[in-house]
Amino acid sequence: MELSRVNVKFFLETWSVSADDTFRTFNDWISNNPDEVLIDVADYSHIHAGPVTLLVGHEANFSIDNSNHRPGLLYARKKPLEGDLPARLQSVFSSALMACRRLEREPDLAGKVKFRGEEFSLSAMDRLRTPPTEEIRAGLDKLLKQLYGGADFAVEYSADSTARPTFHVKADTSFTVSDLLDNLQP
Amino acid sequence: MSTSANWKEHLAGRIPEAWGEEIDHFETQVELRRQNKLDEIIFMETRLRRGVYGQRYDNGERRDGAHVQKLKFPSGELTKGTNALWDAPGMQRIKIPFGGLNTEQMDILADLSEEYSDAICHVTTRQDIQLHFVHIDDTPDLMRRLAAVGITTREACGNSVRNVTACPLSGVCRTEAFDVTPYARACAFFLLGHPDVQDFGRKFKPAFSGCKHEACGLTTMHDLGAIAATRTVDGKEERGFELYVGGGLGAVPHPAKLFDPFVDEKDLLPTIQAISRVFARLGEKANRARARIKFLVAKLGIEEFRRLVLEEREAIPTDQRWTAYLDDLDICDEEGLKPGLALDRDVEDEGFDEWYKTNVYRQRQEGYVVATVALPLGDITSDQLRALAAIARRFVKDTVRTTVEQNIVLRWVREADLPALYGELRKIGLHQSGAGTIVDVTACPGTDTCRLGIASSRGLAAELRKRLAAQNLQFDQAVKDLRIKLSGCFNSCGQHHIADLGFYGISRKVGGYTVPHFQVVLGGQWSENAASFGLPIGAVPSRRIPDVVTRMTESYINGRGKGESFQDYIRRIGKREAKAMLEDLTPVPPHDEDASYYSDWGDPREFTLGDMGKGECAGEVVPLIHFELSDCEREAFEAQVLLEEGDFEKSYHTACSAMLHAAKALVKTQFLDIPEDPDVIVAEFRERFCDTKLFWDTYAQDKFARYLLRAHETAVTEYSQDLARKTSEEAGLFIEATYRCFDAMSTTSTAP
Repeated sequence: MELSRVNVKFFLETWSVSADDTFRTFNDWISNNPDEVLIDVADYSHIHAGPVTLLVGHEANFSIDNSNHRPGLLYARKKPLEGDLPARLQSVFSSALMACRRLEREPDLAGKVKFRGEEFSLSAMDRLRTPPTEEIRAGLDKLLKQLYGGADFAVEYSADSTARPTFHVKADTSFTVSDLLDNLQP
Repeated sequence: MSTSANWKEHLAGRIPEAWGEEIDHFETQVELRRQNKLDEIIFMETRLRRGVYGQRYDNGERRDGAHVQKLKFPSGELTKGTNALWDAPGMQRIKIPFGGLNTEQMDILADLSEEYSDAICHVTTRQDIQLHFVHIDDTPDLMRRLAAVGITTREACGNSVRNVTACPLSGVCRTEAFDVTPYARACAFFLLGHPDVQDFGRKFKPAFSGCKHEACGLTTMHDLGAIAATRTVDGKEERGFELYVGGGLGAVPHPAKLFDPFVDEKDLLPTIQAISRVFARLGEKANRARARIKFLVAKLGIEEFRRLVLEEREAIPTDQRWTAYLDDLDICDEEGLKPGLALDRDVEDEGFDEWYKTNVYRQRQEGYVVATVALPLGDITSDQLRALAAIARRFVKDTVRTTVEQNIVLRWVREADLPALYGELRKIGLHQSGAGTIVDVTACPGTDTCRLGIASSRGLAAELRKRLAAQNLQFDQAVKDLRIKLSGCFNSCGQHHIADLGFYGISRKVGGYTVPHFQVVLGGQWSENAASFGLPIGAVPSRRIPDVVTRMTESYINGRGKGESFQDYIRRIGKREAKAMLEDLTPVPPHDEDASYYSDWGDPREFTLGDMGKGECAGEVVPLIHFELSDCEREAFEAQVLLEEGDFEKSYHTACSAMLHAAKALVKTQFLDIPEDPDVIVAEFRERFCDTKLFWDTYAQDKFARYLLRAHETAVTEYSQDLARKTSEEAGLFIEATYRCFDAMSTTSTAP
């Protein structure tokens, strides 16, 4: 059992960017991204309450996602990760949060993008190899203590009929994306 | 969660044995190609025949105007076909015969799109489902999970029989002769993997229609079109089909020719088989542009083509499957979940009345209706698809159908349940009205994902949908029934020829820049099974196409005669006047004046044709024997693996089987209907190739042939490691000798 295909979504507090602007931004990332292989951008802005703009990568996809009418950045890890479960979670959150910070700092999007660090959802997408829920929860708890630096948080678990375990996490106090990235440092 | 290590183990016993073996073989071929032990061209056609298709940028380059970005994939230069890098994501096409899906299948498609794709399922203009951005390594498991719910991707692409489509109203239509569903299903599974359809020069698309005068199956534009028909003989009604052949769109559309006004239902499958054999034998192979059956029919003439088919029909060995399915015609019968009940009250829900007007069709069965779920550009998210499956369980007893207009229909909805159904669809954002109207714009993938795409058909389609819906044109009696269809290039996957307003992507050079344009095609006919094709009027910049639509619809509204159709109107005003109407929309301002003309809808990069590549739609022409020998190589490889694993008996028999199949492939080049019987195969091989010294090596003479002959004659009782190793090596040599023999024969036969 291993955690590899996993989705993390951080929600947006401020979002006033057109689909064309997001496309341009993601398109630029393809050219300027030394850490990951990024491949293509897809415009899905015609879809109701779903992905808006998708950046397709080799290891992971990034999208501005409006599922359930809650816009956010969805990081969808596709390729296997290294290390034990906590290390894998750390890697996933690090990648997702760095993408959030990059969006916030894009000069062309200045003032138009701000994420809520205190809330996110995590879903295990592999319907065969995902570890038991308790194991993920234990790894997540460990990470959350580090991520939220001792602040209180609530974890809501749901598993729908598709056997896709999802954790919805909300901290009691506000956090910026930079706060979380700082806290993730060893 | 499962404790199984992999999907093959997890789904053991749930996948039909033959399908499981095919997928295992494909997985081995993936591994062989990864190790560079399988030729890339053969692997490409192999994967295409499993529905695994290339996508834009799979050559590792992506452009933004003149700037080229190199995509550095981890597997480097390893390819999965000509210019297609291994790690580049691709498209998986999934055949859905007659568009029929059950809710379990919908759930699995939703899961697969989340796990292996981008969480979007795309409904195509031929009732398939496509997943994009799929990695080749994931395809065997993806196929296994589909096979476990009765779906195969076999022959979804490549030079083979593509999805068999059918009218989505079959069985509930008010005007059909009879329900064509079981016939379309029988045709799909009879032809699937059939030996007689493995050697085509190009793809072959069949379609079934229940009635002649509706749009239904669009039989006129298909390679093979079957329209339900009945006749009365001696007071008894007989079922049959008005059969058409040789239709097709593409760059030059061809209307299908009437092959037979009435093919009795008992003769349907053998006739289609005979057509396939004639196409395989006489169809063009070398020139891809003229390899569809429409060119063969045009070249021979329908009379001669018919004569050859009927002659072939007489020669085919009888197959019990030709008629066996006729005993089970009710296999596809559907019924309502609850007794039919009319809607006899006003509904207060906002938008319901509009939705009811455009998205609901009254069935011939009283109290039931068909509700169309309009999908924007054919896209549905995995969450929506899963939710739609739940809705289908609640309202319609488990089944839905995809449509060629890229929508999904729920059949057998009790009319009284429509308000509740509408409410549930609204919750998941699938309650848009306008299905089958001017706002329900159809588009192929175009530059979004297709290598051949020139302009952004989906980007333009999204813009048109938005603008037309804002104008409420779906409710304007004059124009609501007009169809708009877009293709990203001239190949017509968006079926622009049969739309009232059709467009296909082209480009023009302006001031040193390349500018996206669309060719305007007006007056095609959707009804009567796509009875006539539109007139090309001229090229207009992509940015001005919405203005073209506005101008042509306004012109029609204001200038039409009483009861005059759009087709008649366009014919009456003529090409010259139509072109003149659009003249002022054609100039392109300089780049520094308006740069928007130099990028495409939904893609703000500077426009370029540099991302185009060679399409895989046509596949590659690979002689049938090369496929079969490639399969023998896979068997020989498996024999080696078994040897390494210490299973000497199985290794020995697998190696012998590889030789036997190679011999059979060679015999088949002269004797198409060679049976499976090993004695017959070896006898034919001996007579045709050993006695004639065709299978002959200058130095080794008949040594390689003797490997097979000895293996066939020897009754082995003790399976030693040495025997297994020796036989495994001999199998490899025998297959190589078979390749050489075939190549020598081909050289001789093509020598001037």
